[in-house]
Amino acid sequence: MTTVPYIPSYETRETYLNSRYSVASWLLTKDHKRIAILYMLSISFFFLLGGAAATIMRIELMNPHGYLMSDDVYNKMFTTHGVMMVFFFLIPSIPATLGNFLIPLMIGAKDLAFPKVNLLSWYLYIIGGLMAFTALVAGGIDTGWTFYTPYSTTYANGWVTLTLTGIFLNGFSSILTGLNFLVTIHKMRAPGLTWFRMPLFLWSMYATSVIFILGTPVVAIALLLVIFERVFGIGIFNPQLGGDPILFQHMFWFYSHPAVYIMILPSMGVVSEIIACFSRKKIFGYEMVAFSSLAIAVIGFLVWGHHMFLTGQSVYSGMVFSVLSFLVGIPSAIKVFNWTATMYKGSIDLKTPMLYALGFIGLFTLGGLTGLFLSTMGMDIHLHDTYFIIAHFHYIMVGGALMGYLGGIHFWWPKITGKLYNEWWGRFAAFTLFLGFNVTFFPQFVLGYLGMPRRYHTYPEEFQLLNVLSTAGASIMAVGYILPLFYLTWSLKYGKSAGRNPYRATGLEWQTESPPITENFEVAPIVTHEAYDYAEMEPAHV
Amino acid sequence: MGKFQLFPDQASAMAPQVDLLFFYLCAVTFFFTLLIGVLVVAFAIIYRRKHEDERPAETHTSKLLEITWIVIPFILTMVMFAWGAVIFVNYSTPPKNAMEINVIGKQWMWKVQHPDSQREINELHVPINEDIRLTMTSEDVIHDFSIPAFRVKMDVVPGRYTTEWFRPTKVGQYHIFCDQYCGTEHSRMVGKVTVMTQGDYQAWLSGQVRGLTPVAAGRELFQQYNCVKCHSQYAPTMANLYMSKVDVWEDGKLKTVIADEDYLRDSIVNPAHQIVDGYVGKQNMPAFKDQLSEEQIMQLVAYIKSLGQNEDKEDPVRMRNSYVPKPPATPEMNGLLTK
Amino acid sequence: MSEELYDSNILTSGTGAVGDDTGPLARGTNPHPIAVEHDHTHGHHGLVAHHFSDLAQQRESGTLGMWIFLATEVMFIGAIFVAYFTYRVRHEFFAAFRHGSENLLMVIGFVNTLLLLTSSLTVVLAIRAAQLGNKKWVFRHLILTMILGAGFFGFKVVEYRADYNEHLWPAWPNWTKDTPEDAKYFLPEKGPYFTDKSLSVEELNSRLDHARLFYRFYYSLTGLHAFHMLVGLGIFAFLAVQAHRGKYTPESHQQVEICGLYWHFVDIVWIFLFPLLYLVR
Repeated sequence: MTTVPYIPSYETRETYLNSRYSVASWLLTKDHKRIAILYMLSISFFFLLGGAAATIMRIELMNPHGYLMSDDVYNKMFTTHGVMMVFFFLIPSIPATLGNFLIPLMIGAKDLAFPKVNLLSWYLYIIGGLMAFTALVAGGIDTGWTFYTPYSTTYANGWVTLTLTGIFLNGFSSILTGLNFLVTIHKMRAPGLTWFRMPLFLWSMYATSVIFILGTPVVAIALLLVIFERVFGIGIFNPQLGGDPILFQHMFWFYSHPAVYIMILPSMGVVSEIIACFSRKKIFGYEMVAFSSLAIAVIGFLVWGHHMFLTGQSVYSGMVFSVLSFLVGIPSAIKVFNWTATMYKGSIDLKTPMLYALGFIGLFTLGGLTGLFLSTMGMDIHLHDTYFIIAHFHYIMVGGALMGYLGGIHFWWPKITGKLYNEWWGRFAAFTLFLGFNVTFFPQFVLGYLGMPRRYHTYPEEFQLLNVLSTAGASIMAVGYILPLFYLTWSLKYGKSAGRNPYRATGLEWQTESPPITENFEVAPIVTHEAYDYAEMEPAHV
Repeated sequence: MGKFQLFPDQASAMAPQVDLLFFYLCAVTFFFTLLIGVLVVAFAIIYRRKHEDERPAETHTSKLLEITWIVIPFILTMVMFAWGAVIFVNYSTPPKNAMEINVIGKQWMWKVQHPDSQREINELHVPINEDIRLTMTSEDVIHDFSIPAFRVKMDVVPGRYTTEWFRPTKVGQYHIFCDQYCGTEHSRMVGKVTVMTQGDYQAWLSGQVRGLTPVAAGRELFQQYNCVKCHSQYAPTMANLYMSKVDVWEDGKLKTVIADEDYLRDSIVNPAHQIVDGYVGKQNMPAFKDQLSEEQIMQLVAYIKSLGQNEDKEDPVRMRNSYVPKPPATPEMNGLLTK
Repeated sequence: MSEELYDSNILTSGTGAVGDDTGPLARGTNPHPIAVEHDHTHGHHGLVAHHFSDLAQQRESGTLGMWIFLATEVMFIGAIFVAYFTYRVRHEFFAAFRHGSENLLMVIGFVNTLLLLTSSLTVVLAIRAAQLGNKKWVFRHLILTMILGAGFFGFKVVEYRADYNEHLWPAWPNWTKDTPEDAKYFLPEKGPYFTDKSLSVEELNSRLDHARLFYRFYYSLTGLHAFHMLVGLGIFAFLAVQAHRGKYTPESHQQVEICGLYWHFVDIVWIFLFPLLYLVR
């Protein structure tokens, strides 16, 4: 970064966006950046579906007796909300959008290791999603996103097999994405980019990819066996034949617990990048944060039984799961402390991405600590399957994962589009989301301790006030979600040109154009500095 | 039950223990959330960027600091683990002389049986200060028998038995919820547990003395045994049923019968014998043969006979959704009826 | 092959990197360095995809990718194996599994094992032929592999047909029929274990139920395995076409190696399945 090089103006320079315009050039692209944008648009669609279901649920829950719909429709609403949000939004979100876009840029490569497999991943996701969407439109399912047997195998009506097939295909999308990322990070780093010079986002994506490839097959088989039972009648979870319905829960949660780490680890990676940039400091304890990501991935595979303390499993295995569940929280705590320490004596700039990252820290801390309540066996007796659980995981997934996703979108928006969005709108949206979120979900902790069960269409009247409060918060939160759709889209046409590195961040992705050329770098980079080398930063030019 | 509160009643011996653990967890949670929150906000203000080229001095990692904030959380969480495990082990080992009550869950009701063969549906009457142990199983899918005021719950699984136990310590009525999603009417699979003094419990066991007319007693039974739940929605309506012509299937053959007292009694005691046309394959009504005395059956029949004959606005059978209105309150009914 | 030309008007050298220093490579770096100024590989123009820096990187990436994929397959199989074992070790299931297994056609299973083992040999021979530059034999060994695989598949079809005719299809009673009596039709009482008249009806039914569970695993496991064989046949058909075009040389036959890994894996899974299902007796 010595002399400012001459760069042709945005409109005339060729980028990955304007190199070819046809529909086929997008739908048959092998460019990881275009695939990332395809994902970004499609997951937004499923997010809106899941969000619509949530809106309907919250409106219905304002009245304790249910006044807009039957039990059956409500049950389909919460199942739709869970399936869409978990499988078709949260799990792909950061990996498939930001991961796809940034990994090759961050390591100085031209693309991922297997670009055609990357495109296949997207198509599997789309086909799976369309199947689930078709099932929804055709009448939906009411099993809950957890598909517990024997309800889902023997008793549930509706489009269960179609939905499960959609989720099954989506699982392959995840597996192939994880495979692609692992090989890319192992084999295609630029010269000089050693493991401990990598940005922490890459460490998070690596850990996430390990979970993708090891966990997803297990739930795929679990769901496949449910399909076999429904379609061919050959079932192994049926208690009337001596089968064990709890076996399904073991197989399901063996993946679905690590799945929540799939949802949070990438967000943590984004937060590391944002905090470093807007504190203009290297992340405190870089190695510890990197190892924490791996530790979370590994230990996360050993704790699934904490979803099953009350199924009649042995007390001793319960205790093992409980201890390990506490241990998996320690690396997360390390990260939170390290981020806070990074800000100490930093140079803090509260731009929109930083607001999202700070919101993440606050909400993830509270959400993660409430997870400790649930790891505590004696406490889980009272809290299992209540609104406390719902509040806990929404704090992590919305307050955590989603805020990380939005922060990342805002942080790298200039890189992806070459445009800057309006900062004041961005900050306002972040703040609105934070406020609305807390009003929505904090009352649910109280409701949970009072005993209100989850997945309840009707409830005792004394719970109504807190439910109405929660719905009020949801209406504020909705504003926070919808605003970015407007000002980000607006920026595409009217936003200021971003330039290469508007936030003066470190990282290879900021050294190339915004938006990048299709091959990412004019000249293949060589890395000679440590990560987050803000201390060596050059002064800005006018 | 019934009034707005921010903290649940403590109605069992276990409740205060669980609540104490809860307060410890809350203390740790709020302490660290506040700590991080305050620090982050403070740093954002104190160290805000003063000029564009500001470059902070390099801070060095402190291994001591890192170790501290690993060890302290570790200790705090191990306390949580041990405390919670103790409560859970205690919960998993019911006392030897506990009163045994059996619970069967099925979509979407709870069937409770007391040791002396007294039965209840969606209700549980228990004496105060006595150890009660529930042995439970399901007839179909996984349910969960939950009493928040006691801080207890346990999954009810088909194909095996699970148990939970508690020791009620406060007279009153508390919610029973089904706490594992089990299908369409999961949220209506609720009930209430009534904790009574020993004397009242004995009185309840030996049957209730009522000064009610047969129709009024029958209406009470109709609610108490939850007939209203199905018969106001998708089970055959009973308005103007008495002495009308009904098409029924019996032994695979369709015939027309008159709904007289015998028919009504038979439908309660042995519902599978004759199934109303249009409900074959959907018939789900349990047989009440062993649960009601003949006197109670007569009271129910009297009530059903009265349906449709007067403009009874509170008649639950006429309600379109399964919102159950409060029946007229009388001193005897107070505290013993579902809402 | 690389279209982006180096234009000295646009960038000074080295501004693609974090620093301007283009000096010696630091420790532990990518062993496949890209030359800074020119970005095309030497001599292997048609063989290296544009995003890889050289043939070695491409080959290593492909191999690592296949190993990771096989790791995911291990997790798939592991999940069903664990499910199988959770039942097998319970004492009420153990005997039923054993006696249920007696009705399987072990001869066909054994023949299939031999076919698969031989096909793995032909795969190795195909790779060896490629290494030696013997293009004709690469093609022939690949075809042989396919024939053996198709033979496996053919015997599988025969076996499934025979199983079905023996009423060893333990579906839900109401999958095709409606009465409990018909359920018994779908697993005949074969052998004294299932027809011991001294036992109660409930006990006999319970034994039949447990044996049916065994069959569910049998069909799930062998069905999924057969599906993977089918996919393998498709892959090898593709390889055979490529071999016929002479694509595989001693320097570049990575595709055969990688797909050979897949085939070996499918073979190994069968080596586990065969004893687990057929040799339980």
